[in-house]
Amino acid sequence: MNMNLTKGPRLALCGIVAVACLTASVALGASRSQQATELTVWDWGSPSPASMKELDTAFMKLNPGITIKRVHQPFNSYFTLLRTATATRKGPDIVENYASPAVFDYARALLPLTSYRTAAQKKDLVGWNLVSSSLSASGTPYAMPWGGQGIVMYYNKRLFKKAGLDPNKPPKTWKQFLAACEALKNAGIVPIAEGWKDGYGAEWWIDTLSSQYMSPSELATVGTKQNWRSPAVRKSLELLVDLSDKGYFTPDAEGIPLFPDTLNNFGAEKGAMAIGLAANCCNYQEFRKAKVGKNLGVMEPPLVPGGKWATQKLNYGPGLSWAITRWAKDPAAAYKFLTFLGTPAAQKMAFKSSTVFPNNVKTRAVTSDPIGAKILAWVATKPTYLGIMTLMRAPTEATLDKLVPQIMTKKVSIEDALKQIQATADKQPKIPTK
Amino acid sequence: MKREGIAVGRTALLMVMTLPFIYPFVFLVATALKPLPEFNQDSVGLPAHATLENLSAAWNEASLGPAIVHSLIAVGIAVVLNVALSSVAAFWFVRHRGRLATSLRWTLIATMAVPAPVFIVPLFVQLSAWGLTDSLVTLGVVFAAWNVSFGLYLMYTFIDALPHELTEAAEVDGANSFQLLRSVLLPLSMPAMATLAVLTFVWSWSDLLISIVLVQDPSRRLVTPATALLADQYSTDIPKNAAGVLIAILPMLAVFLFGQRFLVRGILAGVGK
Amino acid sequence: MLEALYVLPIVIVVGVALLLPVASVVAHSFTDWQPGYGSPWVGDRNYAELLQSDQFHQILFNQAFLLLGIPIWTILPLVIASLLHERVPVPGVFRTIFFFPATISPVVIGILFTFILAPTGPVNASLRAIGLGGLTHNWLVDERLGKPVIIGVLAWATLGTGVVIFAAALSGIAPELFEAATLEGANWWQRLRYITVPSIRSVIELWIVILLVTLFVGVFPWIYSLTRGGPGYSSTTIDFDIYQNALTFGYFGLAAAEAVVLLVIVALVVGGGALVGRARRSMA
Repeated sequence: MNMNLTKGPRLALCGIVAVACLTASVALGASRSQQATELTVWDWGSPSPASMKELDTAFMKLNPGITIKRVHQPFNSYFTLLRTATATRKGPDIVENYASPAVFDYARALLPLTSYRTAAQKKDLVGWNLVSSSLSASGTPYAMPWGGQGIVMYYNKRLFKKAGLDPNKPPKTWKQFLAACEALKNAGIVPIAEGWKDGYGAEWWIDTLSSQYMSPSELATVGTKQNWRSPAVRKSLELLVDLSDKGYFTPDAEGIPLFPDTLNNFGAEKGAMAIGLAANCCNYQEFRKAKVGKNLGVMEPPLVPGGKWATQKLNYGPGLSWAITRWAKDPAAAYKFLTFLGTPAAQKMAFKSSTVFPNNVKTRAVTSDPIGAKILAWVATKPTYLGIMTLMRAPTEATLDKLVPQIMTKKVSIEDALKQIQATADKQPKIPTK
Repeated sequence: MKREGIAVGRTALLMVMTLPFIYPFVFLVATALKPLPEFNQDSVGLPAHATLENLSAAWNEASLGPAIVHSLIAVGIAVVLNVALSSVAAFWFVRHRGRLATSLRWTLIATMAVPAPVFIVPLFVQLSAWGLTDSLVTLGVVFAAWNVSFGLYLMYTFIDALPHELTEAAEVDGANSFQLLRSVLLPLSMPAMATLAVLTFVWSWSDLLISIVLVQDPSRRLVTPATALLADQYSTDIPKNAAGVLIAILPMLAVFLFGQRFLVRGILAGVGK
Repeated sequence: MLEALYVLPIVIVVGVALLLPVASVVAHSFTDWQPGYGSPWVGDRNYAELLQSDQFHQILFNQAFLLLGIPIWTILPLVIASLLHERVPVPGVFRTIFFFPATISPVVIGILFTFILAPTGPVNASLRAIGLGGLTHNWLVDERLGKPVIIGVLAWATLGTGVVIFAAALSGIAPELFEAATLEGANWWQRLRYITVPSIRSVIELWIVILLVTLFVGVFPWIYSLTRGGPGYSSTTIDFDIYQNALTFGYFGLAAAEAVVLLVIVALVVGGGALVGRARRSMA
């Protein structure tokens, strides 16, 4: 038989082959690009890049089609970069943020997660209200809350012993607290390692002290109705100034920042107590690596004189959040990553590698460190609260931080300072209601 | 004898005046070489057990090797562009003194008065629309634009101060403007151009805001933003931070040392009097 | 006409990279600016808010105070450059030492000095060591000292650049002028006053303009890392406030208005200085 095809059928055959090849390559290409999704994630380096890499790798193993490209941006420029990304609608797919109304500064850039969030996630993850419209758990979430953050006090057992104090019975009431400070001072030890220059130390004190003076209704609305001139806030500052007058803080504390000097000072045993966090930074793991090491102890902040609580509660809430940007090409894939981060397994890993306390109530975090175990027990059993500090936003924080040294050196009256802070808070754009 | 006494006194005075500059440098080096535990106990004294581990940690963590290359590219472009544009334009302005030209000159020089936080956002939005972000070349051009107002002012001042007899003599000899520029003025302006080159280099190299906004891709990051990673809010490792700073400034010191001989040549040496 | 090619590149580069953004800023200063999104017109609300705020008045005062540093920041490098111009061993080494601060990013200088000026830092430690413990201060947190300390840090940071610029200028003065003066018995100070300064007058003016501009638009990285503008607002400068309003708080409209006000102030200060300079010259 003659196998020579005439022109017409030959052309047709080529055409069919060509189309087949094309279709195959398109199909292959399409499926390959469907599989190869790259998600760019921005964070500011805390939790540590190493611990986040662990999580990224674990996620990628479970989701072979998705690549996580993590970018550590310097903290001091991070929010500037978020603003520029918001303006250009280009940049990362997922961004780290705090779990607080600070998130709303970037609401334009963040994808509402209502349609992605599952009922289980709503139930199991603590803190949706802090990143949702109207600060309500039933509002529109702009981010997924992640990790816990609490305020605790650390102390040095060796220095306590040296001052004649029982290292296993730290002070609970204000009276006991003052007595302990006096004993330490008399033993030539700086009672409280502190630094006011960057204002953060005062923030944590104000949160724990002022909340104890607030009525339940005031405490409940401390995010939506920031009342800085409240007597509760004023009294907390008066207590701090009193402690300062008595010489219980590091000398010249107003010239020392909290980051990193105060923390380093406490770690180097240049102070017997320090207010710190149960979170991915400023925590017991860091202090364990410092000179204070095995002498480290943790206590609850003291009960204030004339406060409303009989027993101390735990200042605790979500610390960080992850959000998806509105321009992300594959929000579904991005939300897969967020979901993964919120699982008990991932949170257990994060806790182990960088002390990110879990905010998924189903997580069984484990640690061999007695202090970590103690804090976890507090988280599980104690009633928790969030104070006025946790729920403030950037401009308010800037004003407050700059006034703190002046308040502590009495260059500005507490009343005056609170007036200024309130003025800044009033000027802020409102929290979105939808 | 008196002359020598004065010379010694002068040198001694200068040496005393260098102390406030030597101390911080020594402190920077000492901190960079001090192991962290030692620093937390004693932050002021000289290191008892000097180590290179901070330097290597900073180098690796902040990817300073590639960062230095990126900076060299962007800053190199900025320097060449700035010196070229400013010198040539200054030459033109020296020869055109009319109302319009003078207004143009002042407008260009006035762009010095625009703070970076102000122009960076609209500029970034526009560059992003054109797809020019994350580009070292674009960054170099922006650095040049940012510094060219100073460059124009500097070159104009220097060229204007050159004796007019030189240009007149060359013109009498029939030189056109291009030959004038090339053979007479540019060689004479070498110290000014070298000064401009060094300053543009240093200012662009140590810039943070513009670099970090225009180049957000970490694989193209420049040196100063890279060292900013080490100096973060939450970082407590000060020796590593100091090590990063030290590595970042070494290229600049090298450029300056090398460029020294161009900065102060006798302009009139060898010119026919 | 081909000569216009000399000036065209600079006009294009500056026009696109700077003048266009500036025009955008000026236009947006009358809006509630949301870069990249619709910005509703608000008329002069931003300006009113700015000019009525107590903080802004404090900021203006701070800027005026910092102007006091100009003589220091000019005379010091001039004197040092003159000294180096005389016969000194290894002038290049001296110049490198003085120039070292110019190589460090302003943010890093701020961190460095935060450390040096800390309550337990080297400055206070040295004062105590030589028995002047009474002079120790909390340098960066005392409202009265904030601005003088900034003037000091800026002097440290800008000296080397001034020396480099003046050294280049000095090398252009005919050596015969100096030789003649020395033969007539002039000492170093007289040479400086009667030969150096008049010869490089235009460069000195250039340096002062640079200082002025830096003071108004380039000082915010130092402020950020030294004091964050505090305590209170005692060390806040206009450009730091602009930086904070725009990039930290997102109040872009307000920052735009502030930038326009800043431009006007700089034009007035530099223009005023130029007029004074011209008047003095015509009187000489």
